[in-house]
Amino acid sequence: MKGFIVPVLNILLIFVLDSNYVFSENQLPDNESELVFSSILFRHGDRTPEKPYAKDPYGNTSLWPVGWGMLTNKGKAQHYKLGQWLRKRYDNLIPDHKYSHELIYIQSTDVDRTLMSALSNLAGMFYPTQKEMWSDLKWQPIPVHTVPQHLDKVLSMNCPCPKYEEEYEAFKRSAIISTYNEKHKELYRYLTEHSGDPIHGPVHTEYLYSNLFIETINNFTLPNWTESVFPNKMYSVAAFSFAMPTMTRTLKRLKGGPLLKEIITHMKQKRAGTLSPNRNLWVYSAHDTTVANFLNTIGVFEVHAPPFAATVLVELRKSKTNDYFVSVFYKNTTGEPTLLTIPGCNAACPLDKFASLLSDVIPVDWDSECHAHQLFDLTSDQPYNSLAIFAMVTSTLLVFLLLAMTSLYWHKQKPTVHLYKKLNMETL
Amino acid sequence: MFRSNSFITREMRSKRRKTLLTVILLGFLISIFLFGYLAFGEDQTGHPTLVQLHILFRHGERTPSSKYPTDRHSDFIWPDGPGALTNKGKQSMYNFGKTLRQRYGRFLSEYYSPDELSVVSSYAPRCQMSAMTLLAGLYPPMGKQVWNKDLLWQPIPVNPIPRHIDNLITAKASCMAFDVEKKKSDKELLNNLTESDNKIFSYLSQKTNSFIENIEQVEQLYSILKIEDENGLVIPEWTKSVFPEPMKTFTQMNLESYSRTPKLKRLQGGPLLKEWLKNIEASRKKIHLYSGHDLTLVTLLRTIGVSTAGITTPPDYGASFILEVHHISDKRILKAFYFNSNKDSEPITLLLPNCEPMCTVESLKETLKSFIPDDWDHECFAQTV
Repeated sequence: MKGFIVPVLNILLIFVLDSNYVFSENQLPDNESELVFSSILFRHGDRTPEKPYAKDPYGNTSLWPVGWGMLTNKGKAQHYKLGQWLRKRYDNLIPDHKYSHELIYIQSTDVDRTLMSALSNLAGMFYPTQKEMWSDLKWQPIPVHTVPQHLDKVLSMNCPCPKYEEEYEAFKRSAIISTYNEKHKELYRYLTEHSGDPIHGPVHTEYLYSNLFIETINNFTLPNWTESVFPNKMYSVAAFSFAMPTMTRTLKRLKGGPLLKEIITHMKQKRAGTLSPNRNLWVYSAHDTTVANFLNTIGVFEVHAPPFAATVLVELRKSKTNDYFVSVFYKNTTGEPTLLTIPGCNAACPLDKFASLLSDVIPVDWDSECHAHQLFDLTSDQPYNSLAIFAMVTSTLLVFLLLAMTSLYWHKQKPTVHLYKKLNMETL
Repeated sequence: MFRSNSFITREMRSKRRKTLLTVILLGFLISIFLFGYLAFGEDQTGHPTLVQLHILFRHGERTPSSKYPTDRHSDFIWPDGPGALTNKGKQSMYNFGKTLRQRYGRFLSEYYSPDELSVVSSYAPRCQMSAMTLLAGLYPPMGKQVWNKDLLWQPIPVNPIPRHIDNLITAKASCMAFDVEKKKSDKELLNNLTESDNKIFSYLSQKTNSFIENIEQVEQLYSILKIEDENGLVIPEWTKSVFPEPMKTFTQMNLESYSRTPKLKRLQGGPLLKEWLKNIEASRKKIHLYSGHDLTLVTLLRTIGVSTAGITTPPDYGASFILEVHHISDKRILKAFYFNSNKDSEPITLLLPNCEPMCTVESLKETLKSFIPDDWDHECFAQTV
């Protein structure tokens, strides 16, 4: 139960500063600089509910023909459009508008709707040029990289991290969260009663909120009970759920840190000329939580629920004097993106300063930090544990063997050494 | 029908007989239609008993991954980069997708659904892209799935397996027991080579100014020459005596060397075979697609031990192995087919081992029992520690 001053401060900051967090000026301080690299993180497009709630009047599968939690046609079109917008914005980073694996890398979480969003986005971003046309279809195949969820240590962060889980559980039991939940107890009770699902906190509320939200945008009339709580009352709690997973320094470091670390590493490599292949664009296709976690980790999260296709752009610019600056943009509408400023820096933040300001939330070695104090925990899901134990046991045995051999050898030698005699002689 | 009616009126006086004859004639006509439909329908669907499809295909036309020292085309710039799927490859895989749609159009749904289809791919971009273009041909958006009327394509997820954990397709996940066995087997293979084989190696070494001492190196060279040749780049005069034959035979020999012994089959081909058999039992999807390489195909075919008649070696672009699962009188029957390339419109039929004429899932399982690893990871590392 230590170190909860930080979260308290955080919440205070979020609530007090709130709108001051975002710079309204939509302009970069230095117009002379040249854009050289951009990391693009977006949420998937419009989707169907992940799972209906128990008393959901629209819980029938036939009402959602594409299936649960799937990208809809609208979602495909959203990303296609976003792709076209990105193509325009990064015109000078995409020579001749042509796709090349040496130009761009696309990573997605291993979930159908994010993979499909990435594909739709790329269809808009790289609709084939004359030379790239291979059929009458105005589309070309572009690989989208992904790793299985349980191995994803960068994007979906579904790779088990016991230290994070431990910290998050402790955080959820902390005074700040229990006070928060106490304050919303009545809402939870009301939602539990009417939805038929156990709603005990912001995350549950968010699931239900997003279901209701999706139903409204699909023109389903919500049941009467929702009137008193949806959207406003539920929204603020749902939005709060996005701040929770990265509320403390450790949570930020273990949840949002790895992606931030990768992005900063790429920018540094780009500056040093060691990025190989020397790509200009890096795309991450993920979820609302990923977007919120990233923004919160770099300290610019204004509490809200990131909408479909919400996009964060981390852009690297080179000034005339060969200095490198980072600017972060957030595009959560179909309009132009908003320029964000990380605390302690300018909107155009020198790369090194950007890195050092955030160094506290960047893990040095994520794996070992996740498994700190767990070396002997055989029950954990640490993949290397059994190997580590095996190695340790073997080496211990070997050391013992070595000791035994040495002592044996020593014993054999002993009679000829006559140390005793010598010592006796000296004392005489 | 009008004609027959007037004919009847002339011939038959009695009203009752007239009616009777009309009924008989009508019945006759209807049955002709029905029979015709059945016969015609049989041609179209051909698969009333089909319940599941498993398909492994090789990627489409590609560019070379490497070059050799005396390569006169080493400065040639391949527009898509090294080891990449070419536009021709995209086109042919797309068309192959259409071929599959034609063959299985009645079996597969018109609409794409993740509940119906799973696509697993090697991590190699050319394999992922081949899968994507094949899907563009196999599942063009229809009706309600058209999301952009100017673009008749829809996004369908392809799942690439990261190379270091891939023991299914590229089979590059590390396996100590496999490496040990392969080394041993390769030594035997090398000893079996004749004097004249070795002469060919030294001829190639001399001409390419590099060390070509084994069949793997011959395969690499063969693949470069073949791709250059296909793309209209003139290959040197000295290749005439060795290209395509005997280099082609060495290439196939190298591909087969990964499944040369039962143990190699078990460790290299076993995991994919195991996954297919598991999917036959547990998956409710209609179609499982695997996008892989020539080696993946050769290994799987050899591990299963299908008949080889009619199969061209080494596998061409888009060559595909298809395992169909049928439900015939309460039995699950397997049928195997092979497309020699993505340009073929019809596959050849393969025979499954010890399993004809009707191959049940159970009997194939029994035959292949020894090639299915119980715990691959364990077998790979346990014995060698």
